[in-house]
Amino acid sequence: MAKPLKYDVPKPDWTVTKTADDEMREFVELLHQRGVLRLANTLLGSLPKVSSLVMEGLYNRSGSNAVQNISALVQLVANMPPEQFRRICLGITEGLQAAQQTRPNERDMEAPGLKGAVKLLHNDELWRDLAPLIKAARSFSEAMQQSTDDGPHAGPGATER
Amino acid sequence: MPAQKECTVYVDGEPITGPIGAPLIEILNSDVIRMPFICYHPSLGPLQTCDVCWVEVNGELARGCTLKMEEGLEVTLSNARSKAAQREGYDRIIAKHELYCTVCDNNNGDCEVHNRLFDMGIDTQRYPFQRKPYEIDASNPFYVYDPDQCILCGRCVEACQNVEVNETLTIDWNAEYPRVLWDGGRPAGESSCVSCGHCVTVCPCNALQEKSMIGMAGPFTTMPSDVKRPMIELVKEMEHTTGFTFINRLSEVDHALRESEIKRTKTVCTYCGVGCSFEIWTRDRHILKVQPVPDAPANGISTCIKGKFGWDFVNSPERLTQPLIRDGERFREASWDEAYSLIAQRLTEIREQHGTEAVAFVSSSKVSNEENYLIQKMARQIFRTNNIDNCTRYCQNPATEGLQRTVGYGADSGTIRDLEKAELLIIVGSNTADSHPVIASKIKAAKKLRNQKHIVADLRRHEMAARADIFLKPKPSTDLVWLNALARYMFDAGYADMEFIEKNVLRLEEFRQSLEPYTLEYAQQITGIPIETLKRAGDMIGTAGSVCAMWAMGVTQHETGSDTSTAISNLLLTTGNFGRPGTGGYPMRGHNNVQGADDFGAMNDIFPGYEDVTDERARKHWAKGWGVDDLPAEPGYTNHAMPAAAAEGKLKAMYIMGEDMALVDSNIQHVQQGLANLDFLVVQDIFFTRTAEFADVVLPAAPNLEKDGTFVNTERRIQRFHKVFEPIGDAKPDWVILTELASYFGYDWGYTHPSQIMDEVATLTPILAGVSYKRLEGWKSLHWPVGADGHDEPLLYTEGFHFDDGKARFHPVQWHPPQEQVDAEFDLHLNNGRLLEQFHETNLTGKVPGIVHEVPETFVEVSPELAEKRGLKDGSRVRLTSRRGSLQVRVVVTDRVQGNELYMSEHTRFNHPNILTSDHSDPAVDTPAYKDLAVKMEIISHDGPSPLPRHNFRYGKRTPVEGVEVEQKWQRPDYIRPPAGSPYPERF
Ligand code: SF4
Ligand code: SF4
Ligand code: SF4
Ligand code: FES
Repeated sequence: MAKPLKYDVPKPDWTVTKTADDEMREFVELLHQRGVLRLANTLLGSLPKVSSLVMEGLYNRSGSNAVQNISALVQLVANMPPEQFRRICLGITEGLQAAQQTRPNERDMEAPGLKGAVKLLHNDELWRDLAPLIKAARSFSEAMQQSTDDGPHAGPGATER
Repeated sequence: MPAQKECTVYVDGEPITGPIGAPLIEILNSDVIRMPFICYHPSLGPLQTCDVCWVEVNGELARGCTLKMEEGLEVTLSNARSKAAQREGYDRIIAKHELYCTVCDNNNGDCEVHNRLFDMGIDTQRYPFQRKPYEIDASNPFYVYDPDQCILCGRCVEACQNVEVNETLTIDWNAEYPRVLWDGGRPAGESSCVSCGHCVTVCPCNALQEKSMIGMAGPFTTMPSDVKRPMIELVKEMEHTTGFTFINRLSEVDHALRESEIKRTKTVCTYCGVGCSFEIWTRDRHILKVQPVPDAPANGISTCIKGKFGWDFVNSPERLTQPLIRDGERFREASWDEAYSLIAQRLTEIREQHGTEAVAFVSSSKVSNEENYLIQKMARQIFRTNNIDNCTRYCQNPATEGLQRTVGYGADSGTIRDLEKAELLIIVGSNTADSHPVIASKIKAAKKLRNQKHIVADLRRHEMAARADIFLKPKPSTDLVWLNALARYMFDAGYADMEFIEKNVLRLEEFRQSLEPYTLEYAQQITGIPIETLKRAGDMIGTAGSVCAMWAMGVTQHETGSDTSTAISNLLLTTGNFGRPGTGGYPMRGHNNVQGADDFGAMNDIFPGYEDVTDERARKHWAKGWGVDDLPAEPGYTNHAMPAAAAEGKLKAMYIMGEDMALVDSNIQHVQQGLANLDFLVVQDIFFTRTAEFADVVLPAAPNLEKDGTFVNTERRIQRFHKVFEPIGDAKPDWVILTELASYFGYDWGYTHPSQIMDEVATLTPILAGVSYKRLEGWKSLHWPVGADGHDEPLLYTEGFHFDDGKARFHPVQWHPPQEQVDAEFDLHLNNGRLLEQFHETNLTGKVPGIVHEVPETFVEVSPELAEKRGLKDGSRVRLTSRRGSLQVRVVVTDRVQGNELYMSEHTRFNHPNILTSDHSDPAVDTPAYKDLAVKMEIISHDGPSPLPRHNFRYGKRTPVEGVEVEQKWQRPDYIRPPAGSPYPERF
């Protein structure tokens, strides 16, 4: 006669979501599979050589200029109101797009001289050649003048309410 | 099926070909999204709420989602006017919905709001997003509604009103700030909502979302809300200047990250016999959500609370993870090798000492077809015994018997589509809305949308009865009488289909004679159903163009279960309702794989494919297939007979797989005595069940999410399910356990994947000859019988009946009252069965906190009349005593039951109604007569907490409407048709 017996299932040693250990193991495995570990190891191994190469690159006239220019740009961007920065970016993009759309013929670009310059004002071909630049400038300035009302947050109805 | 006619339409001048009448939007979008949409859903149709699909037709703007393919139709999608209208529609959407996709748990590739932002190339917010004056509603245990994210597309309303047909959701379009309402304005968790999840499944964004998704879906969504909110604000601030472009790219990166983490696996529900299939979304072992899809063959986008939300049991800390061996007064953990060796040694000893008849096997409707096949193979091939059975015995065999007697196959005649198509459904003893909820939804929709008629016969006035055209309320155990009376009435009133009968049905005269006593007067006298009601029902049946009959445990779990099932089939034959679309007999299979357990031979008297063990040819065939000399010709013990045989000492050892028979067989004190009397018992299960308490060895098995396999649903539909997780701990799939154990008996089965088992079945079983995993890939399924060429039969009997002569048979049956009767002492009838939320003995659903929140304990339903007479109210505690035993339970007073009839759910591991049920059974198939039950009731305490919480859906008040009713929005004076701007885009 089998007596009915109770049994309490012990606390589980598995989890529904990953544990830190699982994540770490997977992370390291992925770093390995994707070659990141190899790259990092190689880099670490050659650190003295790589550092001196980097410093050589930076410690000269153009390197120092680049660092200073980047810092200036960062400062400028940080101080600029976002709307203005967006307009500048838009302006540049649109200017470049306009320039790209109007393709001049490949031509020699020799200096025309004063007389030549007056003559050139009547030269259709030249105007065609200059068109991209002019269009770019116009687009840039239009973008810069655009009212913020036309930007995000303004649509039909928004002002009618 | 006749090929659909094709036509050509011109979209932006380009010819597009497709079937006439098909929705243009689906033809256009089947490849790349070309017609923008948000509210359109293939399973819901055009709701016309979102206003992003505008196109020009004949120079006029029209909502493109409403257009159907028709020859010569010309549509302009891409001119400035259409584009402006589409854009205006979308701008209104995001005025109501805050875009924070990267930290949103819905950014998983299926968010329509997010996707359209990309498809339509939108990069600026033209109307500002504004909050609504409503709080988030998180009161439902499974989902959350966020009014600030709701775009009022109405998909949820349409799904709730016309797909689930629970009629909880509406949108009040005339409110200042319209929103989705539960029961017209109750918290979701205190409404009539049945948590079926349809609304959540179809919501195109994160306005309705599964709680299991929240904070779990993406790498950035886990952030606490006090970090997330400021981040969202910061990003929104940036968007003033950056537009959506940058942040969209980021959310695409986020989406790509999620793709690598989120796994989607097709599976089939583990609960009822509807056989819903869906994708299950997981991250590690966490179940993010269950996502049904329109392609799912049985259910489409439908689920019930259990299929959608009832899966916490898989990760329950109570899962068994190690084999256990009884060791004196305790169980100790053991290795698989030790457990297998002990089983092999003890079963071999018992067989040698007492003969093969002393060992019995019990299989399960919860395990796969392949596993059912293997356990019967173990019994027959290794032990040479037919002592193998499964829990179909407890519920389904009478229905099988009734159909086998009359039409040949013991299974549903057609599919759920046929049930939907029928003009009339006769629903007997089936509480479909609770027990087969998705089928209930389909037929409720057929009734609501296409005026299908329903005659419902039941003791209880449950939802199907409340919605019925005619509700027949017979006295307990008398269904056979009114069924025979209606069959007689068909002949008397000239409704019988004599042409059909003469051509297709044998034994007419004998049948008509057997019906002699069953006049309507006699039926009224025995059943208590008024003659007029019977006549109305008879006229409705007699004049209907197509009739299906559905029945369930209310018919089968009686001494007369087989005969009543037979009477149903006789009635259908009388009216010629077999073999045509929208006709036939449909026993509702209870568990997910009840049908498969039988089909694959886990029964005491048949081989797989219903070949009789008494048939010598069949025995030879199977013996050859399994490489043995001969197989036993005598049917074995039924599982209902096994405990008695154990108690008498005839049965010495049992192997029980996935069945808690110490709770679910009738008269369980008797069953438990039998189990305790065994010399050796093996229990294989995923939890430590009540049956396991009696075991010598307990083996930890794996549920369907941890293995591959197939199930057969109530439609005879074979469907494939796929492994989502590895088995937990040391648990193993049942097919692996059986295969490994066979080798300890010297049988090298060698299966390494369940597909090999199916291949073996297919070679040996004619009705499954064409079944293979290849043919079941993706959402494909097969209805047996399946020919070797893969041809299956969704609708049976189109070419004759399943007898050698192709003819059906009337099978006369006579009513007799059950042995178990109410009397002066045991004066109440106790009916018992299911509730929607819980399942079986709660071994699975009892581990789901949200379900327990809805129905924490079982209860007994008492009628208002009886409650008044006995001074009972909700929460009173009573003792119910039958001729076998007694239990205590709390009371719920409800008009679902009448007079001296009580109802108690079977969903409990304590105080189970089987303490009260008897050993009486249907003599034809030995199914226990659970529902022939007389009790007496004593009051223990008048006051107490109600066992059914007030927040349960049964106390809600449904709000039926036709659907989304978008016309009400259009009629608002402040609704302006796009492309013109809207004054209140953030409101509606
Ligand atoms: S019943 Fe509840 S879960 Fe189901 S669709 Fe309606 S509101 Fe949604
Ligand atoms: S909650 Fe309903 S109305 Fe709102 S977005 Fe979701 S499905 Fe549409
Ligand atoms: S329990 Fe039944 S109706 Fe509910 S989801 Fe599962 S199979 Fe579908
Ligand atoms: S998809 Fe046509 S109105 Fe929404």
